[in-house]
Amino acid sequence: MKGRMNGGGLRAYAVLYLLFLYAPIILLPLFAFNAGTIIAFPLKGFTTQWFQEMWGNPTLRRALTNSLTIAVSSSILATCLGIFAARASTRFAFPGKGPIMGFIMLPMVLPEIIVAMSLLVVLLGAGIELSILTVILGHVLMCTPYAIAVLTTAFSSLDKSLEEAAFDLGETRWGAFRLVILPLVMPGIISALLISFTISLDEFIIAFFLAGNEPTLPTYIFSQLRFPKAIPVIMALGTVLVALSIVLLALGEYFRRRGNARIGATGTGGLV
Amino acid sequence: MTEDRKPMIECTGLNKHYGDYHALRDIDLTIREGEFFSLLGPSGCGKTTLLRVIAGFEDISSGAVLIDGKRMEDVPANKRPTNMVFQSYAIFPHLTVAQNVAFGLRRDSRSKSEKDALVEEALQMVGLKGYGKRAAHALSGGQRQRVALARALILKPKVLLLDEPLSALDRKMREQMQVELIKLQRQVGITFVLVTHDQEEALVMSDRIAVMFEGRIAQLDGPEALYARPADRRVADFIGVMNFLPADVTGEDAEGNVTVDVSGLGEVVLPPKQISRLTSGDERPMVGFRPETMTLLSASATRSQERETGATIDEVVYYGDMTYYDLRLDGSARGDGNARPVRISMRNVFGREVQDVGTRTRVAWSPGSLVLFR
Repeated sequence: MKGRMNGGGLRAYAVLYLLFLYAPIILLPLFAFNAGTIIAFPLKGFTTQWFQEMWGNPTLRRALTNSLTIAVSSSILATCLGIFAARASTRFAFPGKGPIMGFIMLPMVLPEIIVAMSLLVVLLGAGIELSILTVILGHVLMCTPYAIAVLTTAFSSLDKSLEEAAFDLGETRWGAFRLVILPLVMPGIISALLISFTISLDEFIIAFFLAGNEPTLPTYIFSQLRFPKAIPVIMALGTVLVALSIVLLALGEYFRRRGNARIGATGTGGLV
Repeated sequence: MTEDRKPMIECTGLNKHYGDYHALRDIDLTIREGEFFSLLGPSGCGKTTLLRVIAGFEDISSGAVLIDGKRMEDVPANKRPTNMVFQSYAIFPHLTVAQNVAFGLRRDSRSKSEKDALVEEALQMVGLKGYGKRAAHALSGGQRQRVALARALILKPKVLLLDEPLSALDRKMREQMQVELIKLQRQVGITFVLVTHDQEEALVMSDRIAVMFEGRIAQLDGPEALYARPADRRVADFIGVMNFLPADVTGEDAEGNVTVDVSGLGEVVLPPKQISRLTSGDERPMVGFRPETMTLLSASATRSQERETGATIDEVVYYGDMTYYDLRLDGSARGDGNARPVRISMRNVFGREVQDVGTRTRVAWSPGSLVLFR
């Protein structure tokens, strides 16, 4: 065998793989701007009609508002809880730490439908009315393990003596945390917020079970798929969501890299 | 020279347990004002724990710590008149050099221009004048160390605690920083407490050294006393190189002079000051001597006042300025089948030739440089 690798077959595989991943997503904007109502080639012409219809649809706007409310709230809550848990698990030793952390991380691998179902049973049993609040509750449960995973990396890469040094130099414990630890784990916090936001925004099962009559984007999209007339609008909505995700991800990565460059570090809890 | 100064740090009956682990055992220690004091020992001996107890980062299980006459049990680290230079330096990577140095002044009521002046002064003191605007993470190891020093000294603490501050530097830099630290300590005049595992560093820098093993202070002395008259075999072994020869005690007179028959050297009489203070239990008595206290005689050397012993050169290690010889002393094998060779060092001064392995030679030595451990 020659020393150089002949990547002919592998290259084809890589191209096919990427095509399979991204071709459907590329189709979204294509049909979102297509004048025809049927999702099929050939394209009929350019239009922004579907975007206008989307913007003019009150249910869709309500779903969007709900989804954003849920995603923002649950990502902030999950990240805050994640900060507590990550700091506790990296900085302190306490009895039962292993099992406690294990149980907190478990929702990552539990079938979501089981979580959603048991939450529904409990909430109904407790007489709590279903609303976007209950969805937020469920999403916090789902997002927290991811936030912890990201934040633990950020916290554990910190030198323990940084905090001691700040304390030794006369700061209070809170001052040491605020002035030294927080700025240094900020890239991790932003990553955790972004991940939680993304997970919450496109989460379907829990939203479907716990939202009551309130629509969220995924449940709304699912409900509209039955009507062929609505499909181009969904395509437009999808286009907006994909664009938004890309912008968010790019922003997060930008801040993370800038933060790392500022402290001369290489990668603490990044996404990409 | 610091004998008459007032005590700055007093530890009495100090004990520290981590669960079953007894990290500090009955530490009694007084460090005086303006002293350069070192805690020396192998890793795990408790020296860093003791430093962290003084800093206020560790609670104690029993005993008391006083700094400048005040009890410290209920004083947290941020309220103690001590500042610390950490082993990793713990420079805040997200701040500039000046912001790092000024960190401890945040809670100070002085005006910004006064603070800036203090920062500039502190930076100048450690040789980093003009570095204020640099990003702290872009500094070299030696520069980080200086920032850590400036950051601690700007608060004018009564005690500066240094946790292995030179261990991360390369040899040249380390030696340079040792000298600078001594100068700095003389300049600011505050008490320095240094933790190190490097015996050479402790000897070079300290007024007094506490050698620690397994949570206890084995010996507390000045560098010369520590080197010349180690309290027991462990200290002797840890500080520098010490040769040990088995010996039999054959007599002791009323003044405490002990007659010993040393394997390879013959009979010598040792006065009390050459006898170690602590006994090591039921081990066989040993006589120790430092490599530089024996001299390899050239073939033509005339007989000196000192005593002489024949030897064979077992190994030669050439260091440029020095040569180390491993010697087998005549008669050392007597009754000691596994007698180890002794190591002596010779400075390679002009005109002295390095001798070869296997050469039959003579060494001169003096009973005054022997220490008896029993």
